[in-house]
Amino acid sequence: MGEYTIGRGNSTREIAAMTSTPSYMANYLPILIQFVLALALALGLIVASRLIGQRRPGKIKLSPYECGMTPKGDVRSGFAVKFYLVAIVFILFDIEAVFLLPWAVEFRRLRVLGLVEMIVYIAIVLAGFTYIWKRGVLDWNTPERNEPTLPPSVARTGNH
Amino acid sequence: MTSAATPLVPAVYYLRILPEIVLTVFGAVIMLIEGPARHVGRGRTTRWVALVGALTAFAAVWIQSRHPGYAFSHLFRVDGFTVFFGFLLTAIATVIILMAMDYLPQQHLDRGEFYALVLFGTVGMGFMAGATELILMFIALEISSISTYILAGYRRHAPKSTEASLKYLLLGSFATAFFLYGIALIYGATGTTQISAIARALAHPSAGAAVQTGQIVLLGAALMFIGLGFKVSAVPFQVWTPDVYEGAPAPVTAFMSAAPKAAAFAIFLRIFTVALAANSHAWFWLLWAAALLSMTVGNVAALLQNNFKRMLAYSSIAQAGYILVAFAALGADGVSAVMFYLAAYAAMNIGAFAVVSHFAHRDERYVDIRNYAGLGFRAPWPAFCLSVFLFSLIGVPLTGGFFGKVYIFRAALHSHLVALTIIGLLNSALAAYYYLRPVVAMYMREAPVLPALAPGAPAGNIEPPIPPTAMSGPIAVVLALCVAVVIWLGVFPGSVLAYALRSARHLLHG
Amino acid sequence: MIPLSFYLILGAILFSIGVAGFFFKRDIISIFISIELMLNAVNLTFVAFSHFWHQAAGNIFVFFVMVVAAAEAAVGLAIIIAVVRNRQTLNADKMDLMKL
Repeated sequence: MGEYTIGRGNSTREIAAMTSTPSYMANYLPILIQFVLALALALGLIVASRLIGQRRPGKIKLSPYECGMTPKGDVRSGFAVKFYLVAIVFILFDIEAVFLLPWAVEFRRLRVLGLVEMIVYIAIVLAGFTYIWKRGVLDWNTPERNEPTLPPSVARTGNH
Repeated sequence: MTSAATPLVPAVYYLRILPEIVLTVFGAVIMLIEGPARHVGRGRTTRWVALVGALTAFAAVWIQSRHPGYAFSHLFRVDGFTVFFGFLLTAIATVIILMAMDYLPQQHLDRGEFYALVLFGTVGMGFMAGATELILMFIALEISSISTYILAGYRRHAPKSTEASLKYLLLGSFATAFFLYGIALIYGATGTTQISAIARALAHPSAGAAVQTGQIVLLGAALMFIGLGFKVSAVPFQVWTPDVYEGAPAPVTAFMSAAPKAAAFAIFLRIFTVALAANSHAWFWLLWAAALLSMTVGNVAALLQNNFKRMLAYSSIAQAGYILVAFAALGADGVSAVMFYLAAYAAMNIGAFAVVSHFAHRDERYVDIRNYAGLGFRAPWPAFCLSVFLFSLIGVPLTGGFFGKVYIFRAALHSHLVALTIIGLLNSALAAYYYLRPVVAMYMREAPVLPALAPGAPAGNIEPPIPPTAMSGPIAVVLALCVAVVIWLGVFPGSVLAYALRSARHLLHG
Repeated sequence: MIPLSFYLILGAILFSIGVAGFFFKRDIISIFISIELMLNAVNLTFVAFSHFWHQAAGNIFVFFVMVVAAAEAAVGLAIIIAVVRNRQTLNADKMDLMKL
């Protein structure tokens, strides 16, 4: 009593029974047709434009963007570390919200206890948030605190 | 399921995980103090908070031990086994925090995050010790691992340290994925992730599905063995150990070699001797081979090392081999020998690393064994302590290591593992050579006289002797504690062994 | 209905691709992605078994695995940044300050 069980099911099912269901593929026939159609359409359009299209390449047409700025320099110029930090922090806080979902589903049954537990959980997450906020990770205008500035050669990443 | 009278979660459940709650709260407090602090040397307040937190958690284990039983729908169980590891892990955390108090200011790394990470890591390990459900084990393992990944790279401006951190992270998460896949297969075969329910399902397999689920269970067991083999650095899954131990800051290496390893052995024991007990004939030989290889490879490779931390890394692989011998012996004797050895090993290994950490100096300049020449005369007390730890690692009588080995090989002989016992004893003799090298250097070698060079210039092939180093209070406490425990376990091993034996019986028979 | 074994085989294949990527890729980020692939292969296995046993538990496990994987990824990226700052390379073969 009082236990919400995790991981206990009807324990005598046979795996063997599941492995050979006849004609299950029939249900997926429409998807197969769609695949074939999509593939045919895409290939057909490319081939058709090759066959009947005219090609008159010019300097403007060959540039990466026909309208807009002319690209300058190397694209792999390296981002400020700030971007990575914010991305990392985003991953964490984004995924932590996933636990709100099962709680919301079972909200009525869990009653006050669930609410309190969730407040504790959010408080712990907020403690982490306060930490990164106070450390200035979210602050775009000031340079990183207590960080030595990088030599320019290191600012580039991805060189092998 | 829920009746009106019993609440969904009785209050006693929270008492059963009190040490972990305490550690989490203190860790969060450190982060809140640490965040707004603006100058280097911020560790000054947080280290005391951390120390109080670790000691409070140690006390909380005692409160926890007054309330044995399951908590949170069979996710966690407080029994003798959990409490034994709880005391061990919180004690290790306390000692590591003391060590860091000496080491971090020396390295100009004195920031509070270190202490928060040690506390959070200990939370994960505490849950590993008591978890009776595979998913909780996985999450706990990850909490402890992620904390140690960061700690390994704590000297983040030292290329070696970040490289160690990266290697540890990549190989560690690789291993965790194997462990998790093993869990998934066991879940698929039995329909549950609870240790006791798995044991029941495997002991009475349903007739129809027997063949197929049997194979899935064996595959799952093998995958979990790989994952946990990485975590305890058993051969052939040890490749990360030397690099990570060498590159990580010395107190972190001490921590890694004791606490996560002990916790990993805890879940190793719970999974294999309880959940998979019915299949022991299948996985026994894996254990046997891993024990043999770990002892031999670890000891032979350690002979060739000059770097003190790297030598202790190979030594820890060999020590994991001895522990696996006891594991392979199975039964209450084997399990209790594992527990006793883990306690003795923690004390002697952390002690040895404490000395290394103390003499490392800025940027870990002095970590070569040849640096220790003549140290016995210039720093008699630390040198004496280091000798005690190394003698204990050899297994000399009157030290904890001696009784640890006695219990291991006794359990192995009771289980008729004659070959393993003989190879283990031969290995112990071999190991004496490299453990004695620092002792010889400290007491029988003169410190080399350096040619007069400009300060900072490389001195050629001569390893310079360690300069005079003032003993700080915390490191003195660490050394005194470790020596006391090593000697105590070597002179009065009875009470600890009796407790380990009781908890082992409790673990094995419900 | 697609039989259970198909999902398990797909999971095993994905896991093996992850393992192969871990061993043969030379770029740290790719190695990292291989590990994530292994974890997601396990997630697929969990969901398949969860469906097979008619339990919600397996699906909940996937939540936990996802959160853990995200935490690992965050720490991993942070460590990779630290390494790049020190070493100026992302090539795993160059991680050789200590002999293996």
